[in-house]
Amino acid sequence: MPRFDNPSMDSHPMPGSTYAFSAARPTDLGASEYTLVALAADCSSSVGGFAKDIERCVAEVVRSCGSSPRSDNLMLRFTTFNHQVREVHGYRPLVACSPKDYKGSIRAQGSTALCDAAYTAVASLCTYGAQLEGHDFDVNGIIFVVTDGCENASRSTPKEVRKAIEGARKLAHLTSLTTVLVGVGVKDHGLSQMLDDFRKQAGFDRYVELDKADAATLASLADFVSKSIAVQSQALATGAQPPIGF
Amino acid sequence: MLHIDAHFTRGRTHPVCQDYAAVGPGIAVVCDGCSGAPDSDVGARLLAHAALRATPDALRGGTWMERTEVARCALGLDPASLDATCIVARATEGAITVTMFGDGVVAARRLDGTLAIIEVSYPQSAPPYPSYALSEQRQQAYDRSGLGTATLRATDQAPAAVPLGRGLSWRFPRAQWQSVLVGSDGLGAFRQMDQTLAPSTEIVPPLFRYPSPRGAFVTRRLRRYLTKEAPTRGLHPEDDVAVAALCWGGP
Repeated sequence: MPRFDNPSMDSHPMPGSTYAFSAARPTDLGASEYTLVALAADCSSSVGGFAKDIERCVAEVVRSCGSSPRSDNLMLRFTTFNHQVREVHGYRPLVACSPKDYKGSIRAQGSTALCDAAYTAVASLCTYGAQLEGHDFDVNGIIFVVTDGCENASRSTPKEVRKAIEGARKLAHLTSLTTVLVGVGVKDHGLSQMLDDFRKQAGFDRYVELDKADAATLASLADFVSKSIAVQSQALATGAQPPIGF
Repeated sequence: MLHIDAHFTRGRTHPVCQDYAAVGPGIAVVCDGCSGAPDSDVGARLLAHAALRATPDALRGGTWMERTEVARCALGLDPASLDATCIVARATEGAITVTMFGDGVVAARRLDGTLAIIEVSYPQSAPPYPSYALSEQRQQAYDRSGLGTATLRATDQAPAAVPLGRGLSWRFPRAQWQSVLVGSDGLGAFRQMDQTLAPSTEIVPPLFRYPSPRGAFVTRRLRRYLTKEAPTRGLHPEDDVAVAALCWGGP
């Protein structure tokens, strides 16, 4: 089990949810701008066959982003979800994250609260983004929700996720927000259709589908996520909004 | 703990930014290249880095400019490229000392939160650039022009300036002052809705309202002011703006 003992992390309630999130105290931060990254990974029982590959994928994202010229301007929150959403760590500077900390973070069991995972990712990012914006930081955000199955355990609904995303954009605390749903090991057409429907109902910008969930595929997913984060962070620096592609 | 940061940005009427700001351990420098001189954006940078490395004695005696002249010659630039103002804010254990060569703004916040703001200007916006000292001919020409008398506009109870070499100097003891900000004359070139220029006493106070002095606090505050707060109040910077600040605060 990873440990993230950091005395400068504050806990925040999440609007419209019984969940909470933690985040680095704004007065402890030194950069001029931040891209907030919320990464939520499915840990339901069905990912048991490739849980280690997902952990390696997250570790690779952290390693890759850590060597980016924008690493000082990135903050990452990592959650896992089955029938509950668990915060492995809250929003903390990427330079304070270590790839080895993700080993053992995914223990496959339970069902899939996909909506709750998406909703808490959006709500936490929006809430913390507003707090940082109030401390003069320029902020944008990118959200990845990685799953191999359909919703079957949430309290929130796709409509609430959509409302949260639209609300985040309307409040304009974030200069931009990109949301990506990733389906891994999606071989079945029915599952593919359901995830695509969820993407539309919840208002995600992109749905990326991977028919395999092996080590090579998840390594390519790490590459995609890292590059997407880099693009989003560069957009914050330049004001541009380039497209994200797999 | 002492926090130091600086930021500079191009004004809407300038094709390149001729202002520059840089920081080093216990020191911050703001320079403003003359808009009518060739490559003064480069000159402003050379002056800033020479000032960062200069001792107080070198600043006082004017020898700090020798390095810039060597660099200018090596680059084959026009002598006028070094025509730039330079404001140096240096922290010692007991005070922050500001030395200004040319024009600009010095401001400081007392421990009780009140501000002192001092704006220095010269007739026809022609300040005595320290580069004039590198050429007897140019120095004499400037002296003959009669433009070298500074006008100081200061808020009540601001500390008095002390002549220092070819510049002016102020001292802000730590026992009375919490932070010091220096800025280029761009702080006095914000156009209002009625097309008049806003006084620097309107522009400077919001720049002290940084939520935290950690890291890039000047960068964050100036960006936020320029992109959101000033436009909301109908203020638009005509000139480049460079600001640096030193602040004693928490860890």
